[in-house]
Amino acid sequence: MSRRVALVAGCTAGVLGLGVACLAALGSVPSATARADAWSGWTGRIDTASVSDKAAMTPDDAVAVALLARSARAASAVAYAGRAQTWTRYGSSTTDITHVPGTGTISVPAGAPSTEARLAPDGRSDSFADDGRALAVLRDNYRVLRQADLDTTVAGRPTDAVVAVDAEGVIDARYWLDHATGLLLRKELLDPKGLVRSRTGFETFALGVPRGTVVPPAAADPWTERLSAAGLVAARAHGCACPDSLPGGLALLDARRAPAGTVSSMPVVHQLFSDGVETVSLFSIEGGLGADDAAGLVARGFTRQELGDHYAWVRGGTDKEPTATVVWACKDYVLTLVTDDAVDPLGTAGAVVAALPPVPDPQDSSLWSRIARGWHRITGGGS
Amino acid sequence: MSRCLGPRIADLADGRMAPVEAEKAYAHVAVCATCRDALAAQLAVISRLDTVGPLEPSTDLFARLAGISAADPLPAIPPQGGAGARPGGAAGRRPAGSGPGSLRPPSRGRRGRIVLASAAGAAALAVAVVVGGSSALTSAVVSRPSVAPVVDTLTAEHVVSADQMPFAGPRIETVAFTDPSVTVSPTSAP
Repeated sequence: MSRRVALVAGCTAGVLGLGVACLAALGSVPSATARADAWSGWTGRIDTASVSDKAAMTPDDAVAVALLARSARAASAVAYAGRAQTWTRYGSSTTDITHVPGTGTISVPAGAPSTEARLAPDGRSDSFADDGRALAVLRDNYRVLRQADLDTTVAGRPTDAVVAVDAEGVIDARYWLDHATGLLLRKELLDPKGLVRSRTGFETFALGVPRGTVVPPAAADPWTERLSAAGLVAARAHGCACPDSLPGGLALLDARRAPAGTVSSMPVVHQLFSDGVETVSLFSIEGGLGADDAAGLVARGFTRQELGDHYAWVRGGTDKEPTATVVWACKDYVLTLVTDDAVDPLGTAGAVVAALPPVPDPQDSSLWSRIARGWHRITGGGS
Repeated sequence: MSRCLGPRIADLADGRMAPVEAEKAYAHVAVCATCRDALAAQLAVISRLDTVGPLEPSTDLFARLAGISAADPLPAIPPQGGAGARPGGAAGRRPAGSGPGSLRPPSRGRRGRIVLASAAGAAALAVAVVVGGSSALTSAVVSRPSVAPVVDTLTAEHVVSADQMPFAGPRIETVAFTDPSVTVSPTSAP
C-alpha cells in the first residue's frame, strides 16, 4: 500500500472513528437538558398540577367530614373484635381481628390456630399520618358527602354512610361508619361504571377485647426508623429521589427506612403515598438491576413490560391480581412501586415511572441509539 | 427457549429484543447459568457506562477536523522519475510501490501522522465498540444488593403499612419478615 493510500486510510479511519466515538458518547445519556429538567434542583415534588382541582368541586359535606374525622380517631382508640371479610371479584378471605388500643391489632386467618396470630403494633404508619392528615388528603382529591340513603346495618350495628366522589362526579368509595363509635365497619371501592370492585367489612363485630385474648409477640420490624421531612431532604442529598408527592394527587403519608443489613445490604427507604382511596408504596434501594435480578424477578412472576415510554418489571396489576408491583432502575437507585386499591394500577405505575424515569432508558442504550442521539444533537436537532 | 442466547445477549441487555422474544430469553436466562453470567457481564458494562456523564465535544473540534487538510495539506507526491509527467500516464499517478519514491522512507512528520491517525482511529473505534456494550469489559465486577430476593418483603411491607392507614377498612394483614441474611445477595459479574 502506498504511503498516500495508507495516509488517507489512516486519516479517514481516524476521522470516522472519532466521529463515531463522539456521536456515541454524546448519545450515551439522554440530553443534558432533559436530565437537568428531571433532577436539577430536585425538591421531591413531582406533579403538583395533577392534584384534583378542588375549586371545580362543590364543597364537602360538613357532616361527612365530621364523621370521617371521628372515624380516623376511633380507629386507634376503640377496643373491638370481629370477623372481617375482604372480597374482590376473584376471591375473598376472612380474618379474625382484635384491636387492643395502645398495643395493636391481632389478626389470624379464620379457622387457623391461634399460633398463627400476628400482631400489627399501633402507630406503625404515622410519621406523616398524624391526626387529620389522611382525611386532608382524601379531601384534597375527592369530595366527601354524607349519603343517608345508603345507611344500613353492618354486623348488626347501625351505620352512617359517606361517599367519596371524584372530580368527574363518579363515586369512587363508600364508607359505612359505626353510628355509636365512628369505627369504619365496611368499605367498598367502585369502578368507573359504579360496580363494586372490592369490599372489606365486618361479618361479626363487638366492642371490647374478648376475655382471654393473648397478644402475640410482635414480629421483628426492620422499618423502625421514621423519616421526617428533614430526613427525606438528607436522603435526597444522597441521591435518592424520595419525592414528597407522586402523580395523580398521591401525597406522602409515611416514610421509613430499614437500615443496611436488615431488608437489604443497603438501606431501604419506604414511602407510603395515598390520594385518600388508592395507596402506593415506593421503595428506594441504592444500586442497579443486574442479571441476577432479571432471573430472580422472572422466577417471581415478573415480566418486562412497556409502561408508557419506558420498560419496567411488572407483576400483577390485572383484574385477577389488582396489586401491582413494578421494579425499575432510576438514576443510581432501584425503585419498587407497589399499588393496590387503584382502578388502573398499571396506569398509576406508568405515571410514576414516567415521573421517575429510567436513566437512561434501557430501550435506548444501544450503540446505534446513542449514535443517532449524538448525531441528532450535533446537527442541532436536539438539546 | 432452550438454546443459549450467544451473541443475542447483547440485544437482550440493550433492550433491542422484541418483548415476546425478550420474555423467552429471560425465561432461558433464569435457568441457564452461562447466559445469566453473560447477561450479567453485559449489564455490568452498560451500568458502568451509564454512570459516565454527558460528553460534549470541544468547541473547536470540528473546526480543527475540517482544517486538517487546509492547514496541513498532504505532501505532493513527486512524479515518477522525479520530473515531468510519466509518458502515457496521468500526471502524478503511479502504481503503488513503483518508482524511486517508494523506496524512500517516509519523513518523520508524515510517518507520525499516519501512525497518529491510525492509532486515533483504532482507539476511537474501540471506544465506540465499548460504548456499544462489547465484551471488552466483561471482566468488570459490580457489587450491589440484589432486589429480586427482597421484592416480596417489600410488597408485604406495603400491605402492612397500607392496612393500618385510616379508612383502609378492616383488612389487617401481618407478615413475618424474612431473615436478612437470606435476602441480602451481593451480585458480581465474572
